[in-house]
Amino acid sequence: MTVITESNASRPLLQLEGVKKYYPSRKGLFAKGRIQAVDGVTLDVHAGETVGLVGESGCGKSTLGRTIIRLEHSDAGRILYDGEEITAYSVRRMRPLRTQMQMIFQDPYSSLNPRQRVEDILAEPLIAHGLPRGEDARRSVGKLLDLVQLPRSSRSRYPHEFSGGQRQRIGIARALALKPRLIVCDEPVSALDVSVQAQILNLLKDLQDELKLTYVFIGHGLGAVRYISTRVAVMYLGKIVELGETNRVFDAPRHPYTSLLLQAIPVADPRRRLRERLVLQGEAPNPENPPPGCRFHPRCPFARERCFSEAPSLTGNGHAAACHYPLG
Amino acid sequence: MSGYTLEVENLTVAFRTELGEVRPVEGLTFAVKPGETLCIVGESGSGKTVAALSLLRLLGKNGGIRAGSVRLNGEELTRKSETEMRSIRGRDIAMIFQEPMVSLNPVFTIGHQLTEAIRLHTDRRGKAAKAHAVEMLRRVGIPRPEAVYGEYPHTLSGGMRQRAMIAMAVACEPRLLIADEPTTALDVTVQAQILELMKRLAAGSGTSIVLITHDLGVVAEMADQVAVMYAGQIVETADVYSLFENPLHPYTRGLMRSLPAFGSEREGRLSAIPGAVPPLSRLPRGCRFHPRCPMAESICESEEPELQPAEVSRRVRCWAASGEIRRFAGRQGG
Amino acid sequence: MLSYIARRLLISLPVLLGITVINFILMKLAPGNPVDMLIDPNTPPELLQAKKAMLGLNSPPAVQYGKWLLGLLHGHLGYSFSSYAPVADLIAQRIGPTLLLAFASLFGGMLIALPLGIAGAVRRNTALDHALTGLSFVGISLPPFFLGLGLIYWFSLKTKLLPTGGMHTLGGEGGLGDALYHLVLPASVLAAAIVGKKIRYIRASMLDVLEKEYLRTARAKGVRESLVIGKHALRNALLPILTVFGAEIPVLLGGSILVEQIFQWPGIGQLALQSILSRDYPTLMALNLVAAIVVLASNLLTDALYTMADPRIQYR
Repeated sequence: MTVITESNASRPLLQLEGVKKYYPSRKGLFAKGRIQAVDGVTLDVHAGETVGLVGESGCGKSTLGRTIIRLEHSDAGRILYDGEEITAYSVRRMRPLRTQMQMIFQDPYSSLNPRQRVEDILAEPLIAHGLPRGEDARRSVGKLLDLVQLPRSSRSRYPHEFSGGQRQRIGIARALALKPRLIVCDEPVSALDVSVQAQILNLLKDLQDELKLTYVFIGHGLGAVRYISTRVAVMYLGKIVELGETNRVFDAPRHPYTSLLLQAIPVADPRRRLRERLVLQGEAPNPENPPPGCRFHPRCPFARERCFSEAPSLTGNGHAAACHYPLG
Repeated sequence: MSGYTLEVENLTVAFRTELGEVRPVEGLTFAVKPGETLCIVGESGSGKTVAALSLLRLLGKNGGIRAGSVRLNGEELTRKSETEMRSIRGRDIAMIFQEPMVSLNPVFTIGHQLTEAIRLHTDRRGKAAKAHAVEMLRRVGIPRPEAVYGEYPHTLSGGMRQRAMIAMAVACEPRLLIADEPTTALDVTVQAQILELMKRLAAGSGTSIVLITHDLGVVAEMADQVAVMYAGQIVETADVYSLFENPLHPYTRGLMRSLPAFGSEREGRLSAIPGAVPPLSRLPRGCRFHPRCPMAESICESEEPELQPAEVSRRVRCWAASGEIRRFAGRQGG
Repeated sequence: MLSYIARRLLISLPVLLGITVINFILMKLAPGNPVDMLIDPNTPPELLQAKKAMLGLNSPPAVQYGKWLLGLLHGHLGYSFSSYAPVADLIAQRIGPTLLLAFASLFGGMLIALPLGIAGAVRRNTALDHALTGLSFVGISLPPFFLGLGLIYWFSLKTKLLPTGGMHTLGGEGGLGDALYHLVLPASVLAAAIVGKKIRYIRASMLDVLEKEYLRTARAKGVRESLVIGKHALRNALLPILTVFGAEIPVLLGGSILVEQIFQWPGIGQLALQSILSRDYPTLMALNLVAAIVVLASNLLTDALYTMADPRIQYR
C-alpha cells in the first residue's frame, strides 16, 4: 500500500477539532474533580487511510476512539463526518450515520452474545436498520462469512464453539454488516495468540483494500500498529504529542516520548540486546491532575526550563510534534 | 552435584476433569544452570503456566505430577512431603505472576505480605523483618519504601505492584525464580523497567530464572536458553542465539515470521500460522502441530515425533527437522 | 470518617421524621380506636366521649401528631393509653431482653454458620457439602413456631433440660445465669434461620474468594494451607458477609415478635403485639420510632464495619 496522497486534495472523512472528553471524579462530597481523558485533540482522518493511535494505558486512546464515532459525548470541540458537523447530533439524528461508523472490540468473546447463533449476530444490525430481511438477509450473512474467511457452515453455530481468532472474525463480520466506511478498531488483536494476530491483521488489511475502508486503529502492540497504519498519532495524557506518516514516526521520532516508547519495545533479536537504550522511567501520572507546562516534562530526560511552565502545541507540516525541543 | 540449579526430566502433569484425564504438560525436559535464564515460550494452551506451577507442586486438588522428575540442586522434589515442599516454596523457589493487580491480597498491607514470607523462611522477626522488607522495597526501585510498607495494594500502580511482588519473591534469596508472564499486563514502558530490574537482581545474586512468556521480543532480551512449547510439549530447545538465528521447528519459524517486523519490510502481508492451538481434549494424532504445519508429511499424521538432539546442545521434536539433520549428517559422513 | 458519620446522622433526622408521619397516618387509617378497644360496649356514649376528649382523640389528626412531635422534642414519649405508664419506661423495661435475644441469636448463629460455610466451600461437591446444603435448607424452611414448639416438647417436657418459657425462674433469684438458661431455646429458634441462610451465603462468598490469584501467591510463598484459608481467604470472604450482617438486625427484631410469643420472652415483641391489639397509639408511635432508629443505626453500623474491614473503601 502506498501513502495516501489525496490528503490535501479532498475533504477528510473525519475531522476532529479540539475534541475534549472529561470524566467526573469524586474527590469529596462537594469538590468534584474531573479526569481529562481526552484533552483537545485535533485530527483529520482521510478516506482509505488507517490512523494508528498509540500510547500507554490511560492516555485516552480508547476514549478518543469511542468519542470519534459518538459512542461517547464530547465535552468540547467539533466532530465533522464527511463535512457534516455531528458533534451535537441526537441519537435519532445519528441513526442514519451509525451504519457508516462501526467498532471492533478487543475482547471478541464478551462482545458477542453467547446465546445467539452467528447468523443472528450478523443479521441483527441489518434488521435493526431496516435493511434486507428473510432470504436477502441470509444471503448477506453468507457473503459476510465469505468476507472474513469463515466457512458458511459457521452460521448456525454459537460463539463459544469458535477459537479466539475466529470469534474476532465474527466481530469483524458484524462490524462490516452495514457496509460502513469508518471502523474504529480498539486493540483488536491484543487478546489473541501471537500466531493468530497475524491472520487478523492480514484480514483487516485485505478488507480495507477490498471495501475501501477507513480505519482508526487503537493499538497496544506497536508492531501491529506499524504494520497496519498509514499515519500514527502518539498520545500522552489525553493529548496527541506526535502525528505523522507511520515510517517517519517510527524511524525518526521527533517527540522524546515517542522515542522512549519505541526504545522500550523488546527487539526480537538477541544480538541487539546489549544496545544502548534509554529506559523511560516512572509511569504516566494521574490524568486528574496533569503536570503544568508540557505534560511529559516530569519523565522527560531532555526537559528544560521552558517545558516546566509552557505547554507546547502540535506543530510541523506532515510530521508534527508537540515539543519545544523536538529531536532530529 | 550436577551443576544445574533445576533439572526437569520427562515431566508429565495430569488433571482430572469431568471429561476424563487431560495432560496439559507431557514429557517436559529442560535444565537451568545457576544464574542462567531459561525462557519458556508458547501461546495460550501450550501448558507453560501449568509447567511452572508443577515445579512448585501447586497444581490444586485435581492436578498432579503423573511422571518424571524435578530436581532442585540435585534434590528430587516430586517425592517430597507437602510440609517439605512448603518450606521450599518462597525460600528456594519463588514465583511471580502475570496479573499484579490481583496477585496481592487487597486486605493486607504490602509490608504485611512481605514480612509474611520473611518470617516464614528466615530468623528475622519484628523490627529486623520490617527493616529487611523495606530494604527489599528499596532494592526493587519503589520510591518512599517506608511509606509503601504500610500501604495497601490498591494504592499502587500496576508496575509498582509487580515490583512489590518481585520484592516479596526475592526477599528470601531463592535459588530459582519463576516468572509467569510478569510483564504481559503492563505497558511496554513499564515492561522495560521490570525486565531490567529482573536482570539486575539475577545478576547480583546468581539466582536462576525460569521466565514464561508469549513474547519473542522478551525472549530475545532476557533468555540464555529457550524452550518452545506447543500443545503441552516442548517442540524445540536451544540457546537464544542459535534459536533466533536458525529456528529448527516449523512452529518456531512460524511464530517468528508472524511477528510484524520492525525493519523496513512493512509492506506486504504477514505470514500467519493457519488455524489455532488445539484444545487439550482434541489433540491431533501424530505430531500435535501437523494440522497447522506447512511441511507436514504422512508420517506426521500418524507418528508422534520425539524430542531429539539436533545440533550441539539443541533438541527438536519434528520429523522433518530431524530428517533434515539426518540427511545432512549422511552427506557429511559420505 | 467522623465527618461521614456526622453527615449520615444528619441525613437520618428528616428520614426519621418522615417515618413517624407515615406511621401516624397508617395508624389512624386502621379501624377502631383505643377507647372502643378498651371499654365495655355497654358504657354510655357520653362517658366514651369524655374519655376520648381526655386522651386528646377529638382534635384533628394533624394537631394530635403535632402534640406528639412537640412532646418528643421535649423528650416525652407520652403515656400508654392502656396502662397509663410512661411509654419510655415501658420500652426501657422491654428493650433489654429483646436485644439480648437478638444479639445472642445473631452471634450464636454466625459462630455456627461460619465454620460450616467455609467447610462447605473448601470441600465443595463432597458428601459434607451436600449435607450442609441440606441442613441449611432445613434451617431456612422450618417455621419458627414449629421448631419452637418442637424444642419445647423435647427439651422441656420430655427431657426437662430447659425451661418452657419466660426469662427468669418464678420465685428464683434471677441473675444472668438464670436468664441465659432461659435464653437457650428462643435463641436457638431464631438462630436456626440465621444459620440456614448464612451457611449458603458464606459458602458462596468463600467459593468466590477461593478462585483468587492472591491465594496462589500466598501458597507460592510457602504459607500453610490452613492459613491460606483461615487468614488470606477468610478476611476477604468476610467482606460481603459484613454487608448483610447489619441488614440482619431489623429482620431479627421482626422475628423476635413471634419467638417472644412462643416463649413468653418479656421483650419488645410482646409489648408491640399488645399495643396493636389495644390501639395504644403513644406506645405504637414510640415502638415504630425505636424500630426505625434500629434500622438506620444498623445500616450505618454496616457501612462503618465495611470501611474498617476493606481498605479499598473510603467514605469521605
